[in-house]
Amino acid sequence: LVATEGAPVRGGKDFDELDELVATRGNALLATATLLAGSRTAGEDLLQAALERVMRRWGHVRGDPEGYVRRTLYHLAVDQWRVRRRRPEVHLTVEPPAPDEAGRVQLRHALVQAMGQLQPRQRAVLVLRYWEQLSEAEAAEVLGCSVGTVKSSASRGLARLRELTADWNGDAGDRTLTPNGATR
Amino acid sequence: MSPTLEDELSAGLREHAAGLHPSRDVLAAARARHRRRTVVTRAASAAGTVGLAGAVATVVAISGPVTGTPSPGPATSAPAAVELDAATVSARISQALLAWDDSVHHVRSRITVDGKTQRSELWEDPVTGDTRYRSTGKGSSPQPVEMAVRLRGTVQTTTVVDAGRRVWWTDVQELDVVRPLPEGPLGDFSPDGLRGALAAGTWELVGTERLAGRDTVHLRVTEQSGFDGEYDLWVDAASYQFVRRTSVSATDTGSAEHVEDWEYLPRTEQTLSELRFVGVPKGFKKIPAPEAKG
Repeated sequence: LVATEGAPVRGGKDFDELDELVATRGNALLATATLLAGSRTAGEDLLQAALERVMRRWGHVRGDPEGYVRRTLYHLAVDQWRVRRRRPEVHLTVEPPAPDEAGRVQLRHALVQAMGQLQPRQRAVLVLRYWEQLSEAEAAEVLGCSVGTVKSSASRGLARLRELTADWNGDAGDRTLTPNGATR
Repeated sequence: MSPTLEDELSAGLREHAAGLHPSRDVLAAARARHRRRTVVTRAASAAGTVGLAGAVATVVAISGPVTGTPSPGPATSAPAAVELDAATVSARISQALLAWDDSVHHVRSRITVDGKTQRSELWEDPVTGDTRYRSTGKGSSPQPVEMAVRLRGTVQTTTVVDAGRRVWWTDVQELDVVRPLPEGPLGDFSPDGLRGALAAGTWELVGTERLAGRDTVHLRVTEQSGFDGEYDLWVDAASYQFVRRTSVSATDTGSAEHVEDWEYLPRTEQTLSELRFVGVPKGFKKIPAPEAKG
């Protein structure tokens, strides 16, 4: 995490700015954390962990604290992969959406659920690209990795999502996505 | 033209995240956790084990909650009467946690953080809250570090003797709660915290096993809110006291693996002597307590 040069360094134990940040931007931070962690409960835990991590380094935080908290969220979410991969891989079944539309909303919900089967870095990249709408270069800066890593993670993540949703439209290679039975 | 997967993903993420509000005060919880961690980090720093602070925190953390009775108590009155499942075992552990006993708790630990192993022993008297901790030195140093913690009301006095550096110091902290148990991989290790963790986690019953000469029940966490790692627990099949605990969790630079073996010793004069601070060897230099880091 990079501090902003020239910005004032905060005092060690005064977290008033964090109080204000959570009061004004708590919903947005929770949204990001939830998308990264996969559920609201896990998202709250992730946000709490990120805030605690920022408190520990508060004396070194310069500039915009929200950016710092966001970066910490992403770093924690990606780092957790190191532990997760020790476990046997568990494949969850993602229920395909119903063929009718209410359909389209259900499909998108199932698509987000399917993200739970991606590696954390792939998931983080997709959240940065398609939720935060960041460019590849900006996403790379947040994650502290190369643009190439962002590209490959996004590509693999999307490919995996296509695999998972292949049965929904009967064509894994097709870039369009429709609920079962819907006309493309 | 149908939308692409990327379009649907963007829309899905927006829909999924819409209208979320924190349901609890995450900042207050983070602040409390930070405060507890600071207390432990001070002790860990004082013990000269800054590099293993997180791991040491866990060792110190387990000093508080060990409860239950050596002889069968309410939770163990009819252990074979029902078929065991994870929920039943969790309930019995929770019940055992309700009771304090007067045994002295002894925990042998082996902690490997990013490839470096540290062994330690910890004694705790649940009656007074006194704790004594002895570990091998930092890294490969064979010189021991002794740490004695005395808690009287809200005043915690930590005394550390570092044989490797031939120095010692004392750190006195006024705490804002009477018994601030630090957090380990599963969070707060107070009896209440442990019961909460048992209730919040998803446990699977691995089976019954013979371990360290005791019949035990082996549980494994398959999902635990707030903890992302592997966690296994063996409890005595009769008393539901902890026998062994192992965990693997991520650190900033790799992973930490813990193995802890638990004993419950009778509160005899000899056992209590293990809790007494042995004093400062002659020639050791007193230095100021290090500031907490991190």
